[in-house]
Amino acid sequence: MEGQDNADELYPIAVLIDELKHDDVLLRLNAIHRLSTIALALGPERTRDELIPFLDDSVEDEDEVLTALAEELGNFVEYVGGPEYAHVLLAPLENLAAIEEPLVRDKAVESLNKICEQLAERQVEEYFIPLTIRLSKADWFTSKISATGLYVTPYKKASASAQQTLRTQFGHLVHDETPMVRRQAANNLAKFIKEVPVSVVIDEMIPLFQHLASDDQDSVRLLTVEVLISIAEVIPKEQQPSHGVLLTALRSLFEDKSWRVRYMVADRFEKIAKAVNEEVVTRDLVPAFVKLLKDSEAEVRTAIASQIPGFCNLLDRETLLNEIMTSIEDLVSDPSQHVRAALGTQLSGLAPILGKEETISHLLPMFLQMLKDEFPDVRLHIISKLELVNDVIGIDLLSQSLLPAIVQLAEDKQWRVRLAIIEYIPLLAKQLGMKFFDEQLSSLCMGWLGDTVFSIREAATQNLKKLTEVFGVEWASRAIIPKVTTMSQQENYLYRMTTCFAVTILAPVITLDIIQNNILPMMDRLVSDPIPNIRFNVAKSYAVLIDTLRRLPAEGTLQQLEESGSTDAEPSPQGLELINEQIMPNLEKLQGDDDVDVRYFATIAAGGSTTAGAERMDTGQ
Amino acid sequence: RDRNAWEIEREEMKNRIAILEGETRTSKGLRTSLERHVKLLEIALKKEREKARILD
Repeated sequence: MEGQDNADELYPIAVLIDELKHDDVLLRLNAIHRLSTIALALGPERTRDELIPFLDDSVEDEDEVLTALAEELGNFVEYVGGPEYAHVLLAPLENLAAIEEPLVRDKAVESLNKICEQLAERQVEEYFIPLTIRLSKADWFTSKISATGLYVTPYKKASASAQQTLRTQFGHLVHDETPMVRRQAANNLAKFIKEVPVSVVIDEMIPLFQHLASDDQDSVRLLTVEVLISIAEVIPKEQQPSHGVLLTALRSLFEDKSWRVRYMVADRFEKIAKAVNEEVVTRDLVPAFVKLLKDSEAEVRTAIASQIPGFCNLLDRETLLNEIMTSIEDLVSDPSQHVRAALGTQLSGLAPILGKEETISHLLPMFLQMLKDEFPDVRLHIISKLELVNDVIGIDLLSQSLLPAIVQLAEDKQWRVRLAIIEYIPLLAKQLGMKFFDEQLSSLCMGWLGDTVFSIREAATQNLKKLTEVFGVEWASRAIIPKVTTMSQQENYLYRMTTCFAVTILAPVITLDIIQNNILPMMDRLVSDPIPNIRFNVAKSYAVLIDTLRRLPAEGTLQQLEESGSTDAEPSPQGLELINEQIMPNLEKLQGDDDVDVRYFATIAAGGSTTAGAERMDTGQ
Repeated sequence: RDRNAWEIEREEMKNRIAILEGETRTSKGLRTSLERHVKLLEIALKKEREKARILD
């Protein structure tokens, strides 16, 4: 008898009930996710007869668990015996689709649609469409919202008369009295339109669209922009003129009193322009575009600014230059920084459309003005997209007009402005190339190293490191290192100090050769500098160099080593030799210095390094 | 101030212990439930095999 008991206890549904009673939500969630095991153990027949009815009426749980259940049921077709029995899954999902929590409902609708794909036409008519209709006619609006999502998938499989019913019923949802339902109906109308033939769109969908487009809630009206786009995409372009209603609706959307609706229109402008025919574009959309560029709400202007290159691409150059350009030029001095920033990202996209001459005469002045913008994002966006302009007008012309602006900013009285432009230098260098940089910008970068403000000098050394990353080590040894060496011989001790900082920062991006041939001799000289400040900074730099040399392989730089992620590259024995023969003697000398700070930092550099070395050996063994 | 720091650390440790204990409880529950599922499938498999033998 004991075997019998045992089997009872292990009866699949009993196990499931047990697990669903657990206190821990995580465990209940897990039970739901493993529902397929239960179904598998039961076999398809008993799953249909016992498990599904059980789930149908006895599950009450947290939304999280119900969401999981809705998701699982979508994949359950194989466990109930294949598509011919899939309709038994509809009942529990129907319950879940009526629940208050939107997440659960959305999942249930998703699963229902998934199952519907696998149903046969007869099943769709017999089970699925009645379900859709039931939900559409429910008292509570949550069911109706779910129902709006259940029209598109069955429609394809339904017979002509059933399709008729579905359309009528959907019409009722569009005319529902709660805005929540109308919103979802508007959302789904756009998808629905793609499934029905053109004649039906014209006869039935356009009236629905008109109804929604004249809704008194702006949250409903703004969703009709998508509907309009899909209607316009479906109707052939040559037939569009005969549907004056669409145009009227479009015009009223452009001039809607709610800015959220206008924002939506602005945001989809390119899509709208692509869907309607050319006559409408030139006659209606161009004035509308200009008007949106001058909209009273900054959000709308931001949205329309992002459509500039896409829309202008569809126009001929005449219209673009005569009617739109001036409005775009006005945006450069827009009071909102977000509008200017959005314009900054898009403006360079106009260069290929305008061609060389127009870019020079129209775009460049705008660029130059935006480069001087006080908002950093605007400048950054302009600089980061220079490549596009470069391709059109060529590096020479670009540098002719751009360089004065950059130089002017680089020598600005305000140190914050100088700092801002330094941050963009690596980006500029990457886009404009090594040659341009060497000729025009390198002296600027070196000039910053001698700036009166510490932050500028610091940023300039960081900048050197980034430039080395962009242009490579060889370039660094040719362009940077000599300049740094000259600086170490300057009268003013602050320059010599900058040398120490530069060495510290550059250490990870240079090779062993450069350290041995250029850096160490220079440091040798600085060890006996008359100013204590320099001497203890030399000690600090030595600490960094020691650390670098310990890990540096004979070829390449430390940064390359870290990026490649390989740990097997052996540190070069030459590096250790350099530490012992060239650095350590100098550090010992500094440890005997008169100045207390110099002695301290020298001891740290020498002492700290020996313990670190010992540890490394320990772990190595 | 030291005492404060010490007490804060103590509280943090307690929290950590509580979290870890919760985790073990959950994984214990998870394990028993999975064990039961295995048994369940074992029984189902046995039954299927019997059926197959009878059919043979």
